[in-house]
Amino acid sequence: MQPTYWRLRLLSLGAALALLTLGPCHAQDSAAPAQAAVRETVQDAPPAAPKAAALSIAPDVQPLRPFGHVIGDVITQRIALDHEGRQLDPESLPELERVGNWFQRRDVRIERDAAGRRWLVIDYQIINVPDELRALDLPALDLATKTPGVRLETGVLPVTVAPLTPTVVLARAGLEEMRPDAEAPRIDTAPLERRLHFALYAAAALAAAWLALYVLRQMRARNSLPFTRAARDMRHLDPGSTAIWQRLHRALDETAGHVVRGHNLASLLARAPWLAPLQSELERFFEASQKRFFADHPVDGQEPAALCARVARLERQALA
Amino acid sequence: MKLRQAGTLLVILLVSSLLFSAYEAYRLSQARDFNRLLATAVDAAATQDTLEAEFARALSLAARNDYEGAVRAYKTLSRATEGALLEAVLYNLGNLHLREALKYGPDEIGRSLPLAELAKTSYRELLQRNPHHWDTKYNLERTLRLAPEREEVLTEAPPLPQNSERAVTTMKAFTLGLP
Repeated sequence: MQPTYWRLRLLSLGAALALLTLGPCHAQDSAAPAQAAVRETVQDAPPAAPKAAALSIAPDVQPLRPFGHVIGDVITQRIALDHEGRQLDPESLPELERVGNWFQRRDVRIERDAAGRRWLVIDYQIINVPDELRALDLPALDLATKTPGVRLETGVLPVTVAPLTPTVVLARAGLEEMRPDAEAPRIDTAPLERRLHFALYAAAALAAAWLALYVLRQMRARNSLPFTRAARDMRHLDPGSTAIWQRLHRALDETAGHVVRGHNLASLLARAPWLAPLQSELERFFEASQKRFFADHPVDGQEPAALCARVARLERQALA
Repeated sequence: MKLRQAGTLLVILLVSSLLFSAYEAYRLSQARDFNRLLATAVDAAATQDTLEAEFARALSLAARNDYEGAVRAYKTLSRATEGALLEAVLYNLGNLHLREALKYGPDEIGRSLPLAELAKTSYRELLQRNPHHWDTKYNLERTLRLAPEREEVLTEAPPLPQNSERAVTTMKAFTLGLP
């Protein structure tokens, strides 16, 4: 039994020594996986494949305010897209995504400044907050360009971010566990009032225009329409005179375009169909006129002025 | 005859503008009624059929602790609104989730965490639209105090898609995205 224990002790000691020796090597390997990967790649690469060495360019980066940021703030990084007078175009723009624990890449675009210089502009938003004021690194970039073998590389940019609230809330007015809900918004009545006023003003203007047009039409009718002119003339004539009959005859002739008598009244009605409602009265007028002028027979119950006024009203309705 | 046609046209325009005036007057009267009711009672204002009234209704549901009803109302509104009203919807939706999460607190993190993640999503969506919304900044920070996002958690996890949640939503028996 004794020799067996001695061998076991020796084995344990050997294993412990091996662990002590190999442990740091593993730790070192895991701390630098990238270098190891590069080394492995170099070792595995075929020796007969000559490749142009990649040129990494550190472009101009506009300085930004590195302090005083809080959650939700947007930090805009501007990277010059040129190097020693040569334009550089990124092969593709960085993805819009969460970058690490603190930032979200919100927008990426290419802008040209007043001097014509092109910039890659990247908006980062702070979406997380440390427990206390702390410097956070705005991520580095490594972008392939359209120029073969040339890459754009920027380093990390430290910015300080501070919390807005203490870890334990003060529980005093406005500084409770959370800010209250937004109130129900009132409907903005100003645009509605503006539209209503506009519509009312437009209606008033249109009413005024229509009134003006109506007056104009009446004035033109008074001067141009035969029966309207006759009715106006008759106001200055003796109601029992022959002239008043003659004036109505003249208006009828003027409307028809020829001399009208009882037998060709139809031609007048064909030319001025709006006279149709007064056809029987016109027939009676021609009959009475025949008696008055040719049979020298006095006529009762026939008022040329009243008939003319009625005809003039129809005429204005139809033509004015 | 031309003057006559012009007169007819003027009459048509006049009648149209009077009809439009009547319609606008009706809408203005409705809006004034809504604002007056809003000043006295949100519930009464919520009976009208406008986006603002829907918002008032959601607010009223939240005040009555009808969490699910309020979430549905806000979600419906978020698909129909834009601008300042959408910002208010996203903010109140985040508050709704955060308030519910705070009810459980860190002691019941299994229940509060999904709600906190929903709150973060709403707040972050709003901050993307308006980075100067200070109440949202405050409340997002309070949410992060409740459900922190530590660096070590993220470095071990694969990258997250945009606006993703960091915890599985385990809301009880209803889908938040559906009416």
